[in-house]
Amino acid sequence: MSKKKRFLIYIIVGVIIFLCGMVSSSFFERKVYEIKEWVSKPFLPPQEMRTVKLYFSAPQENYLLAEEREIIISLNPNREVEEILEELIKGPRDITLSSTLPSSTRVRDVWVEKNCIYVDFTSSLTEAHPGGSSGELLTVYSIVNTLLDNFPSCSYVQILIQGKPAETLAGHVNITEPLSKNPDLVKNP
Amino acid sequence: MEKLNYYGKMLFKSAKIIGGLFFLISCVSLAFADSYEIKKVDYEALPGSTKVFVEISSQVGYVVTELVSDLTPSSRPKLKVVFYPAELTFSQREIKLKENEFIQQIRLNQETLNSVNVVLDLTDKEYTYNIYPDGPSRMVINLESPGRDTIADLLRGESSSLIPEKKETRRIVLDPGHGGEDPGAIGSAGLKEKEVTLKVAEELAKLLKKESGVEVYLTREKDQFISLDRRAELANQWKGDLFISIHANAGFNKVAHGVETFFNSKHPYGEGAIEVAKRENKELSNGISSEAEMILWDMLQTRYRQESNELSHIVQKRLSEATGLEDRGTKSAGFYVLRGVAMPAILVEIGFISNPVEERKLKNEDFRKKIAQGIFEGIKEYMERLIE
Repeated sequence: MSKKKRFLIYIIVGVIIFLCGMVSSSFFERKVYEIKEWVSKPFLPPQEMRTVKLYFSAPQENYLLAEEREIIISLNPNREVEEILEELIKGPRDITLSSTLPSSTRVRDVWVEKNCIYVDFTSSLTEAHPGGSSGELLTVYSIVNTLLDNFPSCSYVQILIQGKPAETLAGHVNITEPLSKNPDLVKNP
Repeated sequence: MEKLNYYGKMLFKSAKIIGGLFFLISCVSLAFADSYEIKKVDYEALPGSTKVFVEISSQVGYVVTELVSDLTPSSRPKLKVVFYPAELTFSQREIKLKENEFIQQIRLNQETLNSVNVVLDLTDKEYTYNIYPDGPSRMVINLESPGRDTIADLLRGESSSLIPEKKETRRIVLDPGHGGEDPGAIGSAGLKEKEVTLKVAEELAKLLKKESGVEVYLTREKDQFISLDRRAELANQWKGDLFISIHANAGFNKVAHGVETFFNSKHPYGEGAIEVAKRENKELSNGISSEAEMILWDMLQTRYRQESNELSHIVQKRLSEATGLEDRGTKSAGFYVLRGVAMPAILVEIGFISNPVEERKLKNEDFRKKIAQGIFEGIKEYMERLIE
């Protein structure tokens, strides 16, 4: 192979490496930033927490009982609503109490409009629900009472399933409209 | 030079492989694409209503057009439903119905590559129609005689039909919960709520029919899906005096047990909501807005809240006495099926199907007779109090 040809190949390889570097530079830049952030994280001030009240079902499914949790305060209130709902889905710590939502349910979206909190759940909330008026009543009002107790500036909660309003969760309680708090279902210890 | 040539060949080869892969992937995705076949069209004629069943392999969209007959003697009113996307694989193109109240014949044709026309040639009889899915692979087009529309009456200010009349016979509407594709709650031993509610309702109907001056109506008499709106509408069309919805309870906790009776809570709207709804209705040229309709539906039951409350207490007491099950008391909440019922209305939960002990009891015929007896005594006592 002549020297000329070898020189040509070196130039081509050099150009290819240069082009690759150009393309991937932004990726490396981001990675470096992530690593830097990860290293510096332990030195950030601890996150502020707040105590929230979650409502779960009493053993006989006849009323709601409150349990307290700590959640991270977020600048975005929607994030706090999501966090509270995720805790509600996880269920109570007190083993005598019962969950009010199927564990397979996920929160799809949350937003606040005027004085109403809109919460959009996956269809598992209806499909995996045990049914029955008592079970359904406690599911609906554990969501509504929990959110309205922790966000006192709002007065209604609209439950949505897969982005759309539904008649009921399992054939009983009307959830087509925004609902207000139902204090009759809560028993204070 | 030879080497470069070699690389060139390699490049060409790999391009061929990639191309081939693409072709394969597209073939596979085509094979798995949803099919929207209309496999069969059938009908069922009942007195007062006719249902057309369209068997379709997935849920698809549809557009309905009502065509009024012009003056030529051969023309007929038609109801045209266009399904989209859809492919007609059913062999028949015409179904003639013999002496049907509403439909003379059903005609089918593939309108475009992916839309199918279902045209119903109608008779001159007045009708209302309703289209709804029945399970994942069937659409139902239901035609029936127009009933008395309570909401329309309310809007026209004809509230006379809502004031209970003093009369000899009492019409009692029994509403067995769930049915058809909706099994309701299911117990751990497999008992379905829809079966229990129907059996108890039948038992209760038997007891009530023995009483003089009582007429009994059931919102469903077999294992069939009926929407909650339709149940309320039926009760109003029958001009019932009492509405008893029968359900079996369930919860997340298997230990929950007992009987409980519910009535509808007060609507959340302020005074004068009905005026707003009426005004809004006037402003809208094409019917009633969904918000206004919602308010009016809720107003219907709110008028009977006191009666419903009283009825719920009496039935709850008699039911817990007759069955020996724990008395969980009565509660009021927004129940979808009760909200549009223009008569005193309650929803009775006859025991927890999610509790294995109570599930076994609900399975037992003698126990179901006790439940029916308890509700019956409650209704009777309520009616006797009215006469006094």
